[in-house]
Amino acid sequence: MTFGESFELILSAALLGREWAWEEIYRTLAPSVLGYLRTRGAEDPEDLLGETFLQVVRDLPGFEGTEKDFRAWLFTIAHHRSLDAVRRSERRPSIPVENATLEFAGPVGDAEDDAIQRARAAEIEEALTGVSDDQRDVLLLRLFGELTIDEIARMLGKRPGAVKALQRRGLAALRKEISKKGVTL
Amino acid sequence: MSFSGAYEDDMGRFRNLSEADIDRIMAGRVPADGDEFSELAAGLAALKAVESRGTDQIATRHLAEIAEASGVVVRTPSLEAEVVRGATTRWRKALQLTRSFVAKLGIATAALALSTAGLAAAGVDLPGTAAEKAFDKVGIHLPNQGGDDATHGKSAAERVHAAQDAASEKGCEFGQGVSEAASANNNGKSTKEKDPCEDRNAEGTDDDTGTLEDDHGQAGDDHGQAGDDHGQAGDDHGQAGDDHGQAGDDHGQAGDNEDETSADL
Repeated sequence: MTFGESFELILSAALLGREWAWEEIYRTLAPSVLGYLRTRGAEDPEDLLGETFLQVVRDLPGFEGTEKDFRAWLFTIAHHRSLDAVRRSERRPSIPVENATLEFAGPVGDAEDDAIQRARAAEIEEALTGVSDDQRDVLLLRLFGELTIDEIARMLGKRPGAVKALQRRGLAALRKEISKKGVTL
Repeated sequence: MSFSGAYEDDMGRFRNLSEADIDRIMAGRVPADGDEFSELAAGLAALKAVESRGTDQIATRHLAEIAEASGVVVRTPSLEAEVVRGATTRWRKALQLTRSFVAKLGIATAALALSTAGLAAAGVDLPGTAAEKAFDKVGIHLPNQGGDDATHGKSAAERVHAAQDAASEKGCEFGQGVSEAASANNNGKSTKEKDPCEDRNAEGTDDDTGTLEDDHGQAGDDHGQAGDDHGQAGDDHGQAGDDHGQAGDDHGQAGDNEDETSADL
């Protein structure tokens, strides 16, 4: 989902503290950010999502750029929040939340289609455990953030060529994991 | 990481894919001539769809927090603050203009007061009494503006007229009084080098004092004529004060001559 031509208007209204503008931003971008945080294995992705948006609110007066820039900025904040959460969780015992996350997502639409979709999602999620952290970050930022190679390269502090290579190798590793399981849906 | 077996085959296949094909897979679509990637593309699309659900349940809480936080941000430096700053700037400009006007007015008033005091100190008789009264009210006594209470606060012309009206004596004393009133502005500087009336008296005592009253009677008649002349010249009294004094002196001499004439007779 994108804002299109209304982006600047929404951003200006958000700067003035208009609730409707923030609701528009949240409804448009929060699902992708939440998906990124969940898939990245954050311990409490909903709380991280809230923290991410609160930081956006605080730092918005200093933001300048297009909708694409805003999206990249938002995911950069989410990424750093996620890294912080991982560091925090490493200091204390963690509780697996994979199934709880999928349960919380709940069914949408046709029950059979939904079941198939959830099975595919679970398969990819499991396959992601077989790729490196860098490959996973690049794949998830491409998938949920819809960021370009250059944007991801800036965000992760890598060269675009290196990001491209991480993407191809990550996809190849995912396909290999899926093939190994021999699951065909 | 191992690059053996099927993984190497996959890597080979992915190396042959264009960037556009990679983008299609990441977007959950199957690339051209790439059916073998359909499962991967569908899995990625499913992952995105499933994991992105569930914000409705937490949106209310998050939006309330955002509204509160954005309200705080608005009260700190932001666009709204800029709007308020703009209005403040306009008020500030108006205030500065007012302050500037008041300051200029104050400076002009102070300069006027100082120049008035300066003129007074230089011995210039200030026109009218308004300025002197104004200074009196604030407890400042202007120098060289008349010494005693009776004449204080009056201009030279007023003092001359007052001397003319109040004068009961005629002759030398009349001219001397008017002369003193006219020159009263020169405080401390006596313009009277010698008293003409004393000169006249001195001359009068040299002569026969016994006939002085009669002589004065004749001199008084002449004085009456001189008084008429004074009436004609009344408008120029302020200027002619010193002349009056001299005229009075001449009267005295004239009187003495008559005494001599009567003595001869």
